[in-house]
Amino acid sequence: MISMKSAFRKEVLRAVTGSFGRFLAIAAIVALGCGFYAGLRMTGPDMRYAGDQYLAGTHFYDLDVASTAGISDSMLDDIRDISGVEGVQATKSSDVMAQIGENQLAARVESMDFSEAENSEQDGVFSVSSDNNDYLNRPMLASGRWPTSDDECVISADRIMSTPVNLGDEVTLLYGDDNFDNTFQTKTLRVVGTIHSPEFMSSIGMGTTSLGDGTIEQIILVNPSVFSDSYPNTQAYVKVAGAQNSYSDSDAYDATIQPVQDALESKTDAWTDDLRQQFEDQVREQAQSQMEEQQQQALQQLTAQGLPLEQAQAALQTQMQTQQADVQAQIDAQVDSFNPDIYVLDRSHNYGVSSFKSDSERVDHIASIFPLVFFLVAALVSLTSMTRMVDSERPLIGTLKALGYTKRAITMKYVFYAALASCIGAAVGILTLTQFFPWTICRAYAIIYSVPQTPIPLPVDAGLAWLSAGLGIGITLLATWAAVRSTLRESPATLIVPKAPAPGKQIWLERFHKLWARMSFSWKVTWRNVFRYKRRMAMTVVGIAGCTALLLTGFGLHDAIWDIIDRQFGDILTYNVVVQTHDNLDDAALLGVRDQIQDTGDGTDIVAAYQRNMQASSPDHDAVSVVTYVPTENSDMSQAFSLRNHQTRQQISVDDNSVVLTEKAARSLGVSPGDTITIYDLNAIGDPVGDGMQLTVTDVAEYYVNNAVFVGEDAWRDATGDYAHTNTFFSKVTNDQEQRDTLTDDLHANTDVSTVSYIDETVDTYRTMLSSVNTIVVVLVVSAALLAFIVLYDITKINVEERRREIASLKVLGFVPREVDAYIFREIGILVLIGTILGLFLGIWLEGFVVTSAEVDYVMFSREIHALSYVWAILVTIGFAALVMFSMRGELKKVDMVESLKSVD
Amino acid sequence: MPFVSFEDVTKIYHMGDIEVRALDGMNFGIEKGELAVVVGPSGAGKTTVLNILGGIDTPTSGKIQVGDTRIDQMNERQLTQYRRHNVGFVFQFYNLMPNLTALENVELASQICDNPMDAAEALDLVGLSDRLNNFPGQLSGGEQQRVAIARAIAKNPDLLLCDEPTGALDYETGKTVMELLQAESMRRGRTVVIITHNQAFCPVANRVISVHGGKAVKEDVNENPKSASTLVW
Ligand SMILES: Nc1ncnc2c1ncn2[C@@H]1O[C@H](COP(=O)(O)OP(=O)(O)O)[C@@H](O)[C@H]1O
Ligand SMILES: [Mg+2]
Repeated sequence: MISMKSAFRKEVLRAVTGSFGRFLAIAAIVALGCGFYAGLRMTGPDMRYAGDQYLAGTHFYDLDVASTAGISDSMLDDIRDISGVEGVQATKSSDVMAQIGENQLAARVESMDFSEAENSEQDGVFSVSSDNNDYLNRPMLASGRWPTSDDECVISADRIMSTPVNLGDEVTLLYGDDNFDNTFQTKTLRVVGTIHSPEFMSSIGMGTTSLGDGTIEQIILVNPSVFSDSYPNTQAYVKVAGAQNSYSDSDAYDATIQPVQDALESKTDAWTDDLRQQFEDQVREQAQSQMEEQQQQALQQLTAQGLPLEQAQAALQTQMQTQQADVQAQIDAQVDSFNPDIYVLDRSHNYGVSSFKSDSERVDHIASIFPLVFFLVAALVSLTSMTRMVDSERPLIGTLKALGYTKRAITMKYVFYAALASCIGAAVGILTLTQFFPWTICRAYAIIYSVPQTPIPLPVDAGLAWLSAGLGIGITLLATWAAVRSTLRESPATLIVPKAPAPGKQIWLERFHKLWARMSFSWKVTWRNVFRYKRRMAMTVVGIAGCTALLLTGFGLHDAIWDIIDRQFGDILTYNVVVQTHDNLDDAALLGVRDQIQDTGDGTDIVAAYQRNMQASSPDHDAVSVVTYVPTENSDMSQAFSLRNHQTRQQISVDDNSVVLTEKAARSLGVSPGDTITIYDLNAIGDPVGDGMQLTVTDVAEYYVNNAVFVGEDAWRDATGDYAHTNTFFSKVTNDQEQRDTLTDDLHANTDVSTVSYIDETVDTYRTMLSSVNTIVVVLVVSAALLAFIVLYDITKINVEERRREIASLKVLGFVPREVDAYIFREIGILVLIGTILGLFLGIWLEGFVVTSAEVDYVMFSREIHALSYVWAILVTIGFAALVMFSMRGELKKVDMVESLKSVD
Repeated sequence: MPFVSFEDVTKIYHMGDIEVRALDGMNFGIEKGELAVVVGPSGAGKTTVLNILGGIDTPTSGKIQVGDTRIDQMNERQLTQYRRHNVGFVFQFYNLMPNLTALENVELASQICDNPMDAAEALDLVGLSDRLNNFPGQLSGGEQQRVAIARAIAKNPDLLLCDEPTGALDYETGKTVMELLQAESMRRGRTVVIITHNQAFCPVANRVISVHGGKAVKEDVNENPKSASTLVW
């Protein structure tokens, strides 16, 4: 028994070293399958882990108390008193249009105590440490230094500006809301440093605002004293004790936050009353002092006219009483219209945090089915390889059986071999690819987000690792076990002679007598062979189909992404500049802007419109944000927007009564022409207000970036009761850069103009954003190609091995190498072709699925796969097949006639 | 000069450090149109002789001539052409393509040579004209061996080489196969070489070459070979 055991060990070892190629092939395919599955599945969680580390390390707030009427000191005290509150940071912030270097854009100015930053330390990748628990949202200095005076500021290093901003450049705060003049003491600043801020981690957008085109494009951190003393704190950021200990996606985190959030929310009514009381007191005091002053003046006037003081006082008495009543009424009216709003917001209201989260979830979606197909193909191949190995060792199994080895011992040999190969494969694959995939994809997302990359080694999710390893190893072992068992059922005598080849039979093609008769002999043979081994045929076709599908999905996804830019900015939007003005300008002012576009910029096709960021909803569907466009001044919208029906390709014009909704919005809202939607105005934090207005959709238009609704002038008037007033001009202006610069300068100098944006710059932003999704595509395509290659190699090798005897027979008959190749490869070629065609169908389905799940929120991915992508998917598959066959020719040459035909003795 | 001649042919296999001399100075000659039987115990080197003669193996040294050509000097490509046009092989285990019908198996060989016999005619010769469309799996061992013979003779080869053609067959079918092979040599003047370890076949042959230890130890010429139909063993 002992000797048997050591002999057994030797036997296994010999199996490994004897066919090291096969051992490696099985290990490689299991590695690729398991690693790809686990790696892609772990990418989303790894992204969130990095985000979490970043937020924890920079002491990012858990809750944000925002008030439209400011945060009073007593409110701050109240907040501090709530149990569970660990730190509170009060901040002043205001959105403005700013000139930063050469760029004019919407920016958020936020106050910060820079001495805290000076006293803190940036340690390691993720964290900024400080003794002060009230120091929250700690930015990291990327270049330069912290401001030391009121005319200095730092801006985000993450925002890619159309014209680069250098340290020392000037920042001018141009205008903002109605209270702008009372908000700032200093309006001219100098950039002394750039930062990464957890509060503004996305470089695509930093939040929404009512200014400009609705997105905050830069942040400006300043000393609190840059703001006027009278300008109150607008925000109180709250850190909850213990929240840091749990993952911010977890229930534990929510459970820690909830009591504090509840406590804060329960106070908002009282705070609102306090604020109103404060406001009333303030107004009353002002009115009182104003009145007293007036009276004093009147009294002086009267006495100056020579009236005795007492008489004058008496004369004023009645006047005073009526005035008092008037003032009281005035105060009441003012207080009534004063409605402070206080919001308690969690992290999901932060633009960067929530879009980072949804991007990571998008990766999850892509990772849900694509790797599964990948995995199944890999499993199929490892299964076939093991079955083949068992088949090829039938005589050996027979001998072992005849020698008296138990079934268990023999089974163990193969199971052990398979286990060794697949365990090594799974371990290597999972350990490397769960680092490689997340690392690569996180790196791609670093273009958009300032979240630092987790240094390697990344955490490996044990559950997922075991799941994919278990599946990969399990399938291989099970297949091996089944193959050995079924082989062992045969008697040693039958095992020792080579397996009887599958008996030939008529194939269905022969029923087409005419066709069959006209086929050349070698084609008949080929077709016979194609249908000979059903299992081999099925496995080849499925394997190839899977690879083609994966490739097509990758290429299709690439199309989907880049089509957005071509279609949206090439076909649909035909203007190249958007000029936004302030609301409610008079005709002369609007004409002035129009003239500037026309004269300085050689602008043609000028379209005047009213534009507004709103929210659209329909019953039973989640609301979506939309940009509303109403053509004004009898403009022809089609000069700026070439809208068309996606299916019929028919042009859609925006007539007086049209309501044209864009495709993705229509899909999200579940509406089609004839249905009614409701659109709402938005408040400062982007929540809908009012009862909204009803519009009946007349058309749905193909549109890729953002959701929009185009409303005809009459339809708008019917819905709102108001004429739409121009605040936007679209135009085609010159492409000459110098002339454009002049136009930009001229328009910026015009105080009626709020923003000027060229579509080229918008395109660049989208290119940046989409390039990170594209990295995933590249990873997918490269992996699929690798898989395709391994699958083809294995399949071809197995094919050749199984048919050594036939190949030898052909050689003995005097077939020249070319003829032998044709005989064997024509058949594989046909299977590859069938597999490729099936794969295209499978790919169309898989691509549709992946595209839908990969879609970025406010972007619609194109659903069409380009003809060229089909061509590429076919070419790569067939190219690899050709390459593999070419390299297999040597293998065929090596088939030794004497060896292969040796009659078994 | 005989049609086939072996002069001092050696074939040495190396198995690790051990040298196996499968052929150790083999000398013999076979005249054109003869039916030659190579006999000898297992391991004597019979198969090696046949493989080298058929161009599917090469000698280590020595001179082999078939007709005017020296096959020991041929390269891979020339050997393929030699097998294609000059040699027909019949093996102990038939080696038919399981997925092709009897007819197609024969066609597989005939389609590649210049002057083939009609495939159906070849099968008719071996008495299988009614089994043209059967697959090997549907035929008995003897029938399969006859298909193999038909496949070999359809090429109209100068040399018909058979390695233990009756080894897997019973007495009756073995005899039928021997009759066929004898007919090939006698009626069509083909040179036929049959390997066997069965001495009983010797009387049928024109020439009997006894092989032992890689050497031809005896060469007998049989002036009056018996008909295979009278064979008893
Ligand atoms: N490929 C090989 N490697 C090593 N030895 C071989 C090989 N082929 C044949 N031999 C040896 O050569 C000798 C002759 O073999 P063979 O010609 O097959 O004998 P026979 O056909 O007469 O039984 C035997 O001893 C055999 O073991
Ligand atoms: Mg032999």
